[in-house]
Amino acid sequence: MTLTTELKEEFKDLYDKVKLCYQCGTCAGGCPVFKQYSSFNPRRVMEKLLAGDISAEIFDEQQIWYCTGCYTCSTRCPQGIDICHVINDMKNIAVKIKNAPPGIITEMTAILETGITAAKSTSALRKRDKLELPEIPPPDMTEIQKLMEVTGVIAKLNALKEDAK
Amino acid sequence: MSKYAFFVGCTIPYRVPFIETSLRKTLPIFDVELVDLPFACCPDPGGVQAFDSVAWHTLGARNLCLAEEEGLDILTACSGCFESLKIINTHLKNDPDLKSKVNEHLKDVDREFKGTIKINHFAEFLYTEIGIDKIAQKVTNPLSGIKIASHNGCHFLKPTDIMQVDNPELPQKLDHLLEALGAETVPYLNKLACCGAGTRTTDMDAALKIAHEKIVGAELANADALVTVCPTCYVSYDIGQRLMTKHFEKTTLPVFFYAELLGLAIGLDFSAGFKMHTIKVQEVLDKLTA
Ligand code: SF4
Ligand code: SF4
Repeated sequence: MTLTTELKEEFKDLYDKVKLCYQCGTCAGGCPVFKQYSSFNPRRVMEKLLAGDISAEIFDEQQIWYCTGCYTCSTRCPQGIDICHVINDMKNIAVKIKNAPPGIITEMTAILETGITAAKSTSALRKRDKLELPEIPPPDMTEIQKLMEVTGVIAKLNALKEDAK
Repeated sequence: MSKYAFFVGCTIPYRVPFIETSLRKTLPIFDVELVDLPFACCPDPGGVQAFDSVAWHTLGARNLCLAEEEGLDILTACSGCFESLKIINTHLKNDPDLKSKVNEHLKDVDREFKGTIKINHFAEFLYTEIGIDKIAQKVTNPLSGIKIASHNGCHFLKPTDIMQVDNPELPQKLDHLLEALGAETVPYLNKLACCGAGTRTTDMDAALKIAHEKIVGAELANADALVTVCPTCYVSYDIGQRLMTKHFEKTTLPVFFYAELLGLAIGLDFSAGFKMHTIKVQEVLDKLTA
């Protein structure tokens, strides 16, 4: 995989964030995902970053996108590495190289269209009626869409959708 | 009455609205007035942050601006919203470069992040601002005779340096909040385990397997119910138990949201909402009135 200069810079930042890792495996030991799905191992992700392995494989949907973002690893790492955050940074890079699971595209599209992630299904609205709950004031969608445009979300989303075709 | 901007989020109103009822009915009893504002998604600390960190901060800052403009602190009952809003608020207050980048974007919608408000999670708020004693004083129907496995979940407590709610490796406040209602809390295997929701968008089966560990732990401890303070954790365990039958033997551990039990203990009638739970809770209710 070839990386643009910008992405190479981001990689350098990631390396700086993990360079104190001494591969003890504490992160993997407490990782709820690793326990159930051993192909994803945060220690291994750190190892690849340390080795400067920037092959597309570490951005794979079968890898970093399995991280559930629980911060258990970051809480426990004896070297003070914020592994959870590093993996999130990697997901940001993965989006740029168009390596994201379909669920993320669905979620971002929902926010772009409605401002929220949950669908206002008829059954949900019926339950709200039954419980006599008030109507929630809807967000101003021109504002949400404008912010998604200026932060480049719409462009990235379109690129991912184009790629998925 | 103290006024708060009520950040209801996406999951509570449209997936588990009975949790919203429990909040709107209990909080005023403690002199809290909830104000609804046109907030959007917090945005999701998993999906949106993973997609683009700057966009996540910017969309979150817009929500913060709405509350700032009203001069109100935020009160939320979703740990995901709590995480997003509290991290974004803290980052923007402490990182001038990020703040100016985000404010540059916010100019396009005529808003500016100023950093004038505080973000509260309702459970932390009850513990810190209302206090265990005051809660215990309001209890008319103590929840005696049931054993509860408390589930703190991840984002109520972590990242610890920012959330600063409780010790993530030995959390106790939620147990104290439950004990204030007269309930017995039990230690159990996998008490600190994550509900797995963050993996749902990638692999539902893996997420269900993660959630199942918690049910096993609570059942081994003979808990009558599992209690959460996050709607997403609630969904993972309540609706989740039905989906888990694909991989595991059927379990029927009742799951409650803390405010539902608070309401029960102070004498409120939540029967309409209890009927909307996936796992039936009648057995627990019967035990309480026995
Ligand atoms: S816990 Fe920290 S030091 Fe140990 S392997 Fe994981 S990242 Fe490296
Ligand atoms: S944040 Fe991700 S890598 Fe770390 S323990 Fe949780 S699931 Fe595992």
